[in-house]
Parts: sequence; C-alpha cells; structure tokens
Amino acid sequence: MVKIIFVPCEFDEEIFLDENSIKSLKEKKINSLFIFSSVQFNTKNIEKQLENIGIKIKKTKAKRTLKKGQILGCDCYSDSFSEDIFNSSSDILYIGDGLFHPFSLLLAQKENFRKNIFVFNPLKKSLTILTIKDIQNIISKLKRNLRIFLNAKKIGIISSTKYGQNYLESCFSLKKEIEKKGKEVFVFVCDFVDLKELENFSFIDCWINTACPRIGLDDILSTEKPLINLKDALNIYKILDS
Amino acid sequence: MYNLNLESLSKRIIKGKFKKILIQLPDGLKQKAENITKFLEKKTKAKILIWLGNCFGGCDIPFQVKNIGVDLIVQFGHNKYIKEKEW
Repeated sequence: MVKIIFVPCEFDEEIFLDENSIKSLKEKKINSLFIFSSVQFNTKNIEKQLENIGIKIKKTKAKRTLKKGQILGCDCYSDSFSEDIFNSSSDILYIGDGLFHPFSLLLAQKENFRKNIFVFNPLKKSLTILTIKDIQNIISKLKRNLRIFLNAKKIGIISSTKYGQNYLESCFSLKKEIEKKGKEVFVFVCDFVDLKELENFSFIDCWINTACPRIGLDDILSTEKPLINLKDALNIYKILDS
Repeated sequence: MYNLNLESLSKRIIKGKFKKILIQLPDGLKQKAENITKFLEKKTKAKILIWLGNCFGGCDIPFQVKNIGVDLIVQFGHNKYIKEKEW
C-alpha cells in the first residue's frame, strides 16, 4: 500500500488585520463572526484583534475538513457544515488569498441567500465583500440546466475514479430513481472530468456530475452542455422556485 | 512565503525508508517542483517523480502510481480530506 504524506504549506508569517479593515468591520456593527480560512493560514492573531473590538469569534467544522474553521471548495452546500451557519445571527469572514474557497460560502446559499461573505486577503491587506451578485451567472445557468434536465430523455451520469470523488453507489441509486421517471440513463467513468469530452456523446441530453461538486457549479459556465450536480438534481424544485 | 517543510519531510522519508516518491503539487505550487525534487534527491537519495496531472485537493490522490513502484505520495498544499459516505 502506498503511503501518503500531506504537507499543508502554511504561510510562514504572522497575519493581522490592517487598520482600514478593522475600521470597516467596526462600522458594520458586527456582534459575532464565523471565521473560515484555507489550511495555509493561522488566524489566531486576527481572532484576538476582532475580540478586542468586541466581536465574538465562532468556529464550525465543514464536513470534509480536518479541523474547525477550515473550508474546502467542496463545502458548497448548506448542509456542508456541522451547524446552520447561514440561519444564525452571526456574520461570516473568510481569511485567505483566493476566491475559490469563499465562493463555497456563497454557493452554499444559492437556494436561499441570506449572508454576504467578508473576505480578508492577508497578502494584499484588503477586505472585500462577496454578495449574491458574484454568483448570479452560475445560478442563472444552473436554473437553465435544471429546466433542460426536467425534459431530457437521455441522461449521462459522470463518475470519477478519483479516490475522494468516487460515489459509484450514489450513481447507481440515482440511475434507478431517474429511470423510474421514464428517462434512459448511462453511467460514464473518468479520472479528470474534461468537459470537452461531453461533446463526443451527443446522444446525451443532460449530464449529472457526481465528482467534485464545483464541476456542476462554477464549471457549468465553461460549457454549453447542460450539466448539473447530483444534489441539485435531487433538490430540483427547491432551486427552480428560489 | 509558504512553508514546504522540506527538512522535516526528508527526515520522515529517510525514517520510513521510502525509495520511490511521487510529489504532487497544486497549480500555484508547481513551479516549486524543481527545488523540491533537487532538495529531496540530495537529502534522501530516493527517486523523485513529479505528478504532471491535476491536484485538486486531498480528494485527488493518484493511487495508480503504486503500479510503477511508488511507495510514497507527498501532496503539497492540502491536508487530509474526510470523505463523506454518500454524495
């Protein structure tokens, strides 16, 4: 058996909020904040700074992460967290240098958007706010794809062989469910999901992704082929009605 | 800026007597492959291979390299991924 070592590559400098960011957060009159970050950043100094201006710090665990406060790109559904952070009275702050991870926190609210996401970039020392406008293009395309799925006759389910993205049993359960609705279902297997490959199977009317959930969200903007995630296929009416 | 922990990693490689190692890097760290490889080859005498494909996270580990005799995969930039039972 091959052994695995993970090297998280922590940022090797202490990180702090700058004065402007502290001022902006103070002006928002925030009582408490859920803090998230990528694995690279140690947020303890920032937590102390926030507590010093009267903001209570809260941390929750995203389901696929090892520790509280960490977030991954795949934590992008409302049930991806150990508590209901979007219906709580606390605001949300992400600390990190990219947008892929904080977008999870937007996408998790696509059916019922409640909270903007504060993002502090410790390298640029800048505080920005992500809102529903930042994912409006994804939501519109997703709704278009879901409508196509409703009327589609031939469905392709995509299963990845990647260790952490393989849910073949879920694929077959889904196949059974969809076949009950009179649709034909074909299961496709690959390692990396190359969206260009979808073009080669033109008999498929709509694709359902069971690999990385960000494929059925962000990546749908890169293909005209209708593609949805397994979970969205199951919650179809909730999304279309939102 | 981002700590690759190469000293500590090389000690673990020597202690574990690993001989053929695959290093896997996310896009933002792929430029570091040259230095990582040179460092680990010199320190550990192990054969170092570099994964040319994607590295999306702890969910994305190329276990198939065991077929070519790799006994250790080192994935940089991520930590352990907790897989859910169902999607």
